[in-house]
Amino acid sequence: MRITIFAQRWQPLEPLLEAYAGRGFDVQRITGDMPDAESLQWAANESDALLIVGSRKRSPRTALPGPVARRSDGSLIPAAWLPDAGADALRRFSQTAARLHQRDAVNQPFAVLSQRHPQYLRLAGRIETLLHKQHKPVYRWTSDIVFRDDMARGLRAGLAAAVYVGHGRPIGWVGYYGTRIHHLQDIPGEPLGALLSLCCRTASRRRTPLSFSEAVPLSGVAGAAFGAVGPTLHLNNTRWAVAICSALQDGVRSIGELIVKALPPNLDAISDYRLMGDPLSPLFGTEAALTEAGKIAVYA
Amino acid sequence: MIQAQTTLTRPQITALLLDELRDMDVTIPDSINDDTAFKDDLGIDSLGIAEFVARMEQTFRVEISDDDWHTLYTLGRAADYIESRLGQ
Repeated sequence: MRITIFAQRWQPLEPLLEAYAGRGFDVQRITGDMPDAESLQWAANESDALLIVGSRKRSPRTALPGPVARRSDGSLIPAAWLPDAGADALRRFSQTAARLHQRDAVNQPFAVLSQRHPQYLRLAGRIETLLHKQHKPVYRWTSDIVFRDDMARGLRAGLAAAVYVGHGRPIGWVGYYGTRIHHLQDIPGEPLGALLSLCCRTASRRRTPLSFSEAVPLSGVAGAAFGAVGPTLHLNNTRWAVAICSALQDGVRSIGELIVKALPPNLDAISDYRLMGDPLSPLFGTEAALTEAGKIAVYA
Repeated sequence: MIQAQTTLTRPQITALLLDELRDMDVTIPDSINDDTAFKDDLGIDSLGIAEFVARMEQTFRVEISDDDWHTLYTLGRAADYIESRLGQ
Protein backbone atom coordinates (compact mmCIF):
# COMPACT_ATOMS: atom_id res chain seq x y z
CA MET A 1 0.00 0.00 0.00
CA ARG A 2 1.47 3.33 -1.03
CA ILE A 3 0.06 6.72 -0.08
CA THR A 4 1.29 10.00 -1.49
CA ILE A 5 0.93 13.04 0.78
CA PHE A 6 1.34 16.62 -0.35
CA ALA A 7 2.04 18.96 2.56
CA GLN A 8 3.99 22.05 3.47
CA ARG A 9 5.02 20.85 6.92
CA TRP A 10 5.52 17.36 8.31
CA GLN A 11 6.20 17.61 12.00
CA PRO A 12 2.50 17.71 13.05
CA LEU A 13 1.81 14.75 10.79
CA GLU A 14 4.50 12.53 12.35
CA PRO A 15 2.13 10.40 14.49
CA LEU A 16 0.16 9.38 11.40
CA LEU A 17 3.32 8.83 9.35
CA GLU A 18 4.61 6.52 12.11
CA ALA A 19 1.29 4.68 12.18
CA TYR A 20 1.47 4.18 8.42
CA ALA A 21 5.02 2.87 8.76
CA GLY A 22 3.89 0.54 11.53
CA ARG A 23 1.34 -0.98 9.17
CA GLY A 24 3.92 -1.37 6.45
CA PHE A 25 2.51 1.38 4.24
CA ASP A 26 4.92 3.14 1.92
CA VAL A 27 4.56 6.91 2.28
CA GLN A 28 5.67 9.23 -0.48
CA ARG A 29 6.08 12.76 0.88
CA ILE A 30 5.92 15.72 -1.46
CA THR A 31 6.67 19.06 0.15
CA GLY A 32 5.18 22.12 -1.42
CA ASP A 33 2.11 24.06 -2.34
CA MET A 34 -1.02 22.60 -3.90
CA PRO A 35 -0.19 20.11 -6.66
CA ASP A 36 -1.17 21.01 -10.20
CA ALA A 37 -3.19 18.60 -12.34
CA GLU A 38 -0.08 17.04 -13.84
CA SER A 39 1.52 16.35 -10.44
CA LEU A 40 -1.75 14.95 -9.17
CA GLN A 41 -2.02 12.57 -12.13
CA TRP A 42 1.56 11.42 -11.66
CA ALA A 43 0.95 10.84 -7.95
CA ALA A 44 -2.26 8.94 -8.64
CA ASN A 45 -0.46 6.64 -11.05
CA GLU A 46 2.18 5.93 -8.41
CA SER A 47 -0.12 5.46 -5.40
CA ASP A 48 -3.02 3.62 -3.80
CA ALA A 49 -4.29 6.75 -2.02
CA LEU A 50 -3.71 10.51 -2.01
CA LEU A 51 -3.84 13.09 0.76
CA ILE A 52 -3.42 16.80 0.11
CA VAL A 53 -2.74 18.94 3.17
CA GLY A 54 -2.92 22.44 1.79
CA SER A 55 -3.53 26.07 2.58
CA ARG A 56 -6.83 26.65 4.33
CA LYS A 57 -7.46 29.36 1.77
CA ARG A 58 -8.39 26.52 -0.57
CA SER A 59 -11.80 24.95 -0.16
CA PRO A 60 -12.74 21.27 -0.59
CA ARG A 61 -14.47 22.17 -3.86
CA THR A 62 -11.34 23.64 -5.45
CA ALA A 63 -8.69 21.46 -3.81
CA LEU A 64 -9.84 18.26 -5.50
CA PRO A 65 -12.42 17.46 -8.19
CA GLY A 66 -13.97 14.62 -6.21
CA PRO A 67 -13.35 11.96 -3.56
CA VAL A 68 -11.36 9.77 -5.95
CA ALA A 69 -8.55 10.18 -8.48
CA ARG A 70 -8.38 8.23 -11.69
CA ARG A 71 -5.11 6.59 -12.68
CA SER A 72 -4.04 6.50 -16.31
CA ASP A 73 -5.11 2.85 -16.51
CA GLY A 74 -8.66 3.84 -15.51
CA SER A 75 -8.55 2.46 -11.96
CA LEU A 76 -9.65 4.67 -9.09
CA ILE A 77 -8.00 5.53 -5.79
CA PRO A 78 -9.27 7.56 -2.84
CA ALA A 79 -8.17 11.19 -2.74
CA ALA A 80 -8.60 13.22 0.43
CA TRP A 81 -8.21 16.86 1.37
CA LEU A 82 -7.27 18.45 4.65
CA PRO A 83 -6.79 22.20 5.18
CA ASP A 84 -3.72 23.22 7.14
CA ALA A 85 -5.60 24.90 9.96
CA GLY A 86 -2.52 25.27 12.15
CA ALA A 87 -0.03 22.92 13.77
CA ASP A 88 -2.28 22.10 16.72
CA ALA A 89 -5.22 21.09 14.53
CA LEU A 90 -3.00 19.05 12.21
CA ARG A 91 -1.42 17.31 15.20
CA ARG A 92 -4.85 16.53 16.65
CA PHE A 93 -5.89 15.02 13.34
CA SER A 94 -2.67 13.09 13.02
CA GLN A 95 -2.90 11.66 16.55
CA THR A 96 -6.55 10.72 16.04
CA ALA A 97 -5.84 9.02 12.73
CA ALA A 98 -2.83 7.20 14.20
CA ARG A 99 -4.98 5.94 17.08
CA LEU A 100 -7.47 4.48 14.63
CA HIS A 101 -4.71 2.55 12.87
CA GLN A 102 -3.99 0.75 16.17
CA ARG A 103 -7.45 -0.83 16.28
CA ASP A 104 -7.84 -4.54 15.77
CA ALA A 105 -9.85 -5.51 12.72
CA VAL A 106 -12.43 -7.32 14.79
CA ASN A 107 -15.82 -5.63 14.51
CA GLN A 108 -17.48 -3.00 12.35
CA PRO A 109 -20.18 -1.30 14.41
CA PHE A 110 -22.02 1.53 12.66
CA ALA A 111 -24.39 4.29 13.70
CA VAL A 112 -27.23 5.57 11.55
CA LEU A 113 -28.18 9.19 12.19
CA SER A 114 -31.02 11.18 10.72
CA GLN A 115 -32.96 14.40 10.88
CA ARG A 116 -36.49 14.01 12.22
CA HIS A 117 -38.32 14.02 8.90
CA PRO A 118 -40.24 11.11 7.30
CA GLN A 119 -38.12 11.09 4.14
CA TYR A 120 -34.86 10.84 6.02
CA LEU A 121 -36.10 8.54 8.76
CA ARG A 122 -37.23 6.20 6.02
CA LEU A 123 -33.77 6.20 4.39
CA ALA A 124 -32.11 5.77 7.77
CA GLY A 125 -34.38 2.80 8.42
CA ARG A 126 -33.39 1.26 5.10
CA ILE A 127 -29.67 1.70 5.88
CA GLU A 128 -30.25 0.10 9.28
CA THR A 129 -32.10 -2.84 7.69
CA LEU A 130 -29.44 -3.39 5.02
CA LEU A 131 -26.65 -3.40 7.62
CA HIS A 132 -28.66 -5.69 9.91
CA LYS A 133 -28.96 -8.16 7.05
CA GLN A 134 -25.17 -8.23 6.91
CA HIS A 135 -25.14 -9.07 10.64
CA LYS A 136 -23.21 -5.90 11.38
CA PRO A 137 -23.77 -4.19 14.73
CA VAL A 138 -25.80 -1.09 13.88
CA TYR A 139 -27.13 1.60 16.20
CA ARG A 140 -30.06 3.73 15.14
CA TRP A 141 -29.60 7.11 16.78
CA THR A 142 -32.02 9.12 14.66
CA SER A 143 -33.25 12.42 16.06
CA ASP A 144 -36.78 11.14 16.65
CA ILE A 145 -35.52 8.80 19.35
CA VAL A 146 -32.18 10.19 20.59
CA PHE A 147 -31.19 13.57 22.04
CA ARG A 148 -28.28 15.40 20.48
CA ASP A 149 -26.03 15.09 23.53
CA ASP A 150 -26.60 11.34 23.67
CA MET A 151 -25.96 11.01 19.94
CA ALA A 152 -22.73 12.99 20.35
CA ARG A 153 -21.63 10.72 23.21
CA GLY A 154 -22.48 7.71 21.07
CA LEU A 155 -20.18 8.93 18.36
CA ARG A 156 -17.37 8.64 20.92
CA ALA A 157 -18.16 5.02 21.74
CA GLY A 158 -15.43 3.78 19.39
CA LEU A 159 -17.56 2.88 16.37
CA ALA A 160 -16.24 2.17 12.89
CA ALA A 161 -18.35 4.88 11.24
CA ALA A 162 -21.56 6.85 11.36
CA VAL A 163 -23.81 7.94 8.51
CA TYR A 164 -26.11 10.99 8.71
CA VAL A 165 -29.02 11.62 6.35
CA GLY A 166 -31.09 14.79 6.40
CA HIS A 167 -30.57 18.45 5.63
CA GLY A 168 -27.06 19.80 5.94
CA ARG A 169 -25.38 23.20 6.05
CA PRO A 170 -21.73 24.27 5.72
CA ILE A 171 -21.62 24.59 9.51
CA GLY A 172 -23.25 21.26 10.33
CA TRP A 173 -26.42 19.20 10.31
CA VAL A 174 -29.94 20.57 10.57
CA GLY A 175 -30.92 17.43 12.47
CA TYR A 176 -30.97 17.21 16.29
CA TYR A 177 -32.09 20.87 16.40
CA GLY A 178 -28.82 21.85 14.78
CA THR A 179 -25.52 20.01 15.16
CA ARG A 180 -22.25 21.91 14.94
CA ILE A 181 -18.70 20.73 15.41
CA HIS A 182 -18.60 22.10 18.97
CA HIS A 183 -21.39 19.66 19.87
CA LEU A 184 -19.18 16.73 18.85
CA GLN A 185 -15.65 17.72 19.84
CA ASP A 186 -14.13 17.70 23.30
CA ILE A 187 -16.25 14.74 24.38
CA PRO A 188 -14.11 12.08 26.03
CA GLY A 189 -13.95 8.76 24.30
CA GLU A 190 -12.79 7.19 21.08
CA PRO A 191 -12.93 8.65 17.56
CA LEU A 192 -14.96 7.30 14.68
CA GLY A 193 -13.20 5.75 11.72
CA ALA A 194 -15.28 8.02 9.51
CA LEU A 195 -18.28 10.32 9.67
CA LEU A 196 -20.32 10.39 6.48
CA SER A 197 -22.85 13.17 5.88
CA LEU A 198 -25.16 12.14 3.03
CA CYS A 199 -26.75 15.55 2.73
CA CYS A 200 -26.17 19.00 1.27
CA ARG A 201 -23.21 21.30 1.82
CA THR A 202 -21.35 20.01 4.90
CA ALA A 203 -18.09 20.35 2.93
CA SER A 204 -19.01 23.78 1.55
CA ARG A 205 -17.12 26.90 2.64
CA ARG A 206 -20.06 29.21 1.98
CA ARG A 207 -20.00 31.82 4.76
CA THR A 208 -17.77 29.76 7.02
CA PRO A 209 -13.96 29.72 7.31
CA LEU A 210 -13.96 25.95 7.80
CA SER A 211 -16.69 23.54 6.77
CA PHE A 212 -18.20 21.01 9.15
CA SER A 213 -16.75 18.06 7.24
CA GLU A 214 -13.25 19.58 7.33
CA ALA A 215 -13.58 20.31 11.04
CA VAL A 216 -14.49 16.68 11.83
CA PRO A 217 -10.99 15.19 11.27
CA LEU A 218 -9.23 18.37 12.44
CA SER A 219 -11.06 18.30 15.77
CA GLY A 220 -10.41 14.62 16.43
CA VAL A 221 -14.03 13.48 16.04
CA ALA A 222 -13.12 11.02 13.27
CA GLY A 223 -10.17 9.97 11.16
CA ALA A 224 -12.03 10.96 8.03
CA ALA A 225 -15.19 12.72 6.92
CA PHE A 226 -17.27 12.54 3.78
CA GLY A 227 -19.49 15.43 2.77
CA ALA A 228 -20.95 17.44 -0.09
CA VAL A 229 -19.55 20.72 -1.41
CA GLY A 230 -22.96 21.97 -2.58
CA PRO A 231 -26.61 21.03 -2.80
CA THR A 232 -27.36 17.36 -3.44
CA LEU A 233 -30.35 15.43 -4.72
CA HIS A 234 -32.11 12.99 -2.43
CA LEU A 235 -31.80 10.41 -5.22
CA ASN A 236 -28.02 10.84 -5.26
CA ASN A 237 -27.83 10.51 -1.47
CA THR A 238 -29.95 7.37 -1.76
CA ARG A 239 -27.54 6.11 -4.43
CA TRP A 240 -24.65 6.60 -2.03
CA ALA A 241 -26.53 5.00 0.87
CA VAL A 242 -27.41 1.87 -1.09
CA ALA A 243 -23.92 1.65 -2.58
CA ILE A 244 -22.21 2.11 0.79
CA CYS A 245 -24.26 -0.71 2.29
CA SER A 246 -23.42 -2.88 -0.71
CA ALA A 247 -19.69 -2.09 -0.42
CA LEU A 248 -19.72 -2.91 3.28
CA GLN A 249 -21.13 -6.30 2.40
CA ASP A 250 -18.02 -6.85 0.29
CA GLY A 251 -15.86 -6.49 3.41
CA VAL A 252 -14.17 -3.12 2.93
CA ARG A 253 -11.63 -2.18 5.60
CA SER A 254 -11.00 1.55 5.15
CA ILE A 255 -12.93 4.69 4.25
CA GLY A 256 -11.03 5.00 0.97
CA GLU A 257 -11.84 1.45 -0.03
CA LEU A 258 -15.47 2.09 0.89
CA ILE A 259 -15.77 5.22 -1.22
CA VAL A 260 -14.07 3.68 -4.26
CA LYS A 261 -16.26 0.57 -4.11
CA ALA A 262 -19.43 2.56 -3.48
CA LEU A 263 -19.01 5.10 -6.28
CA PRO A 264 -22.36 5.64 -7.97
CA PRO A 265 -22.33 5.52 -11.78
CA ASN A 266 -23.48 9.11 -12.33
CA LEU A 267 -20.87 11.85 -12.35
CA ASP A 268 -22.87 14.47 -10.44
CA ALA A 269 -23.32 12.13 -7.46
CA ILE A 270 -19.54 11.70 -7.36
CA SER A 271 -18.44 15.28 -8.00
CA ASP A 272 -20.81 16.65 -5.35
CA TYR A 273 -18.77 14.95 -2.61
CA ARG A 274 -15.30 15.16 -1.11
CA LEU A 275 -13.29 13.01 1.29
CA MET A 276 -11.55 14.82 4.15
CA GLY A 277 -8.80 13.51 6.44
CA ASP A 278 -7.08 10.14 6.30
CA PRO A 279 -8.08 8.30 3.10
CA LEU A 280 -6.88 5.05 4.69
CA SER A 281 -8.77 5.53 7.95
CA PRO A 282 -9.71 2.01 9.13
CA LEU A 283 -13.40 1.17 9.52
CA PHE A 284 -13.22 -0.88 12.69
CA GLY A 285 -14.54 -0.37 16.17
CA THR A 286 -12.80 -0.69 19.51
CA GLU A 287 -13.28 -3.79 21.66
CA ALA A 288 -15.45 -1.80 24.05
CA ALA A 289 -17.49 -0.09 21.33
CA LEU A 290 -20.52 -2.36 21.61
CA THR A 291 -20.67 -1.99 25.38
CA GLU A 292 -20.28 1.78 25.23
CA ALA A 293 -22.77 2.21 22.37
CA GLY A 294 -25.27 0.08 24.26
CA LYS A 295 -25.28 2.66 27.07
CA ILE A 296 -26.70 5.42 24.84
CA ALA A 297 -30.25 6.32 25.84
CA VAL A 298 -32.73 5.60 23.05
CA TYR A 299 -36.38 6.64 23.49
CA ALA A 300 -38.00 4.29 21.00
CA MET B 1 -25.78 -7.81 -4.70
CA ILE B 2 -24.76 -9.60 -7.87
CA GLN B 3 -22.53 -7.85 -10.33
CA ALA B 4 -24.27 -8.38 -13.62
CA GLN B 5 -22.52 -9.16 -16.87
CA THR B 6 -23.39 -7.86 -20.28
CA THR B 7 -24.37 -11.38 -21.39
CA LEU B 8 -27.44 -11.52 -19.17
CA THR B 9 -30.62 -12.69 -20.84
CA ARG B 10 -33.87 -10.85 -20.33
CA PRO B 11 -35.30 -13.52 -17.98
CA GLN B 12 -32.09 -13.29 -15.93
CA ILE B 13 -32.45 -9.50 -15.77
CA THR B 14 -36.05 -9.87 -14.61
CA ALA B 15 -35.01 -12.41 -11.98
CA LEU B 16 -32.32 -10.04 -10.66
CA LEU B 17 -34.84 -7.18 -10.54
CA LEU B 18 -37.17 -9.38 -8.50
CA ASP B 19 -34.29 -10.26 -6.17
CA GLU B 20 -33.72 -6.56 -5.56
CA LEU B 21 -37.41 -5.99 -4.85
CA ARG B 22 -37.42 -8.89 -2.37
CA ASP B 23 -34.31 -7.40 -0.73
CA MET B 24 -36.35 -4.23 -0.27
CA ASP B 25 -38.95 -6.34 1.55
CA VAL B 26 -41.50 -5.87 -1.25
CA THR B 27 -44.06 -8.68 -1.40
CA ILE B 28 -44.01 -10.18 -4.88
CA PRO B 29 -47.41 -11.56 -5.99
CA ASP B 30 -47.68 -14.85 -7.91
CA SER B 31 -49.31 -12.94 -10.73
CA ILE B 32 -46.29 -10.73 -11.37
CA ASN B 33 -45.55 -10.03 -15.03
CA ASP B 34 -44.05 -7.36 -17.28
CA ASP B 35 -47.09 -5.11 -16.83
CA THR B 36 -46.87 -5.12 -13.04
CA ALA B 37 -46.57 -1.49 -11.96
CA PHE B 38 -44.20 -0.72 -9.10
CA LYS B 39 -46.43 1.96 -7.59
CA ASP B 40 -49.98 0.74 -8.24
CA ASP B 41 -49.46 -3.03 -8.02
CA LEU B 42 -46.51 -3.40 -5.62
CA GLY B 43 -47.17 -0.33 -3.48
CA ILE B 44 -43.70 1.17 -3.90
CA ASP B 45 -43.74 4.94 -3.35
CA SER B 46 -41.35 7.51 -4.82
CA LEU B 47 -38.76 7.01 -2.06
CA GLY B 48 -38.89 3.28 -2.66
CA ILE B 49 -38.41 3.86 -6.39
CA ALA B 50 -35.34 5.98 -5.60
CA GLU B 51 -33.86 3.05 -3.68
CA PHE B 52 -34.81 0.64 -6.47
CA VAL B 53 -33.07 2.85 -9.06
CA ALA B 54 -29.96 2.98 -6.89
CA ARG B 55 -30.03 -0.80 -6.52
CA MET B 56 -30.44 -1.33 -10.27
CA GLU B 57 -27.44 0.92 -10.91
CA GLN B 58 -25.33 -1.00 -8.41
CA THR B 59 -26.36 -4.43 -9.60
CA PHE B 60 -26.11 -3.83 -13.34
CA ARG B 61 -23.44 -1.09 -13.19
CA VAL B 62 -25.40 1.21 -15.45
CA GLU B 63 -26.33 4.84 -14.95
CA ILE B 64 -30.04 5.59 -14.98
CA SER B 65 -30.44 9.27 -15.77
CA ASP B 66 -32.86 11.46 -13.86
CA ASP B 67 -34.86 11.85 -17.08
CA ASP B 68 -35.16 8.10 -17.56
CA TRP B 69 -35.99 6.73 -14.14
CA HIS B 70 -39.48 8.26 -14.07
CA THR B 71 -40.34 6.17 -17.15
CA LEU B 72 -39.45 2.86 -15.49
CA TYR B 73 -42.81 2.34 -13.83
CA THR B 74 -43.38 -1.33 -14.67
CA LEU B 75 -41.22 -4.44 -14.32
CA GLY B 76 -41.18 -4.88 -18.09
CA ARG B 77 -40.08 -1.31 -18.74
CA ALA B 78 -37.29 -1.64 -16.18
CA ALA B 79 -36.10 -4.93 -17.67
CA ASP B 80 -36.24 -3.52 -21.22
CA TYR B 81 -34.25 -0.49 -20.11
CA ILE B 82 -31.55 -2.54 -18.42
CA GLU B 83 -31.35 -4.92 -21.39
CA SER B 84 -30.90 -2.00 -23.79
CA ARG B 85 -28.24 -0.36 -21.60
CA LEU B 86 -26.28 -3.60 -21.20
CA GLY B 87 -26.38 -4.12 -24.93
CA GLN B 88 -24.79 -0.72 -25.63
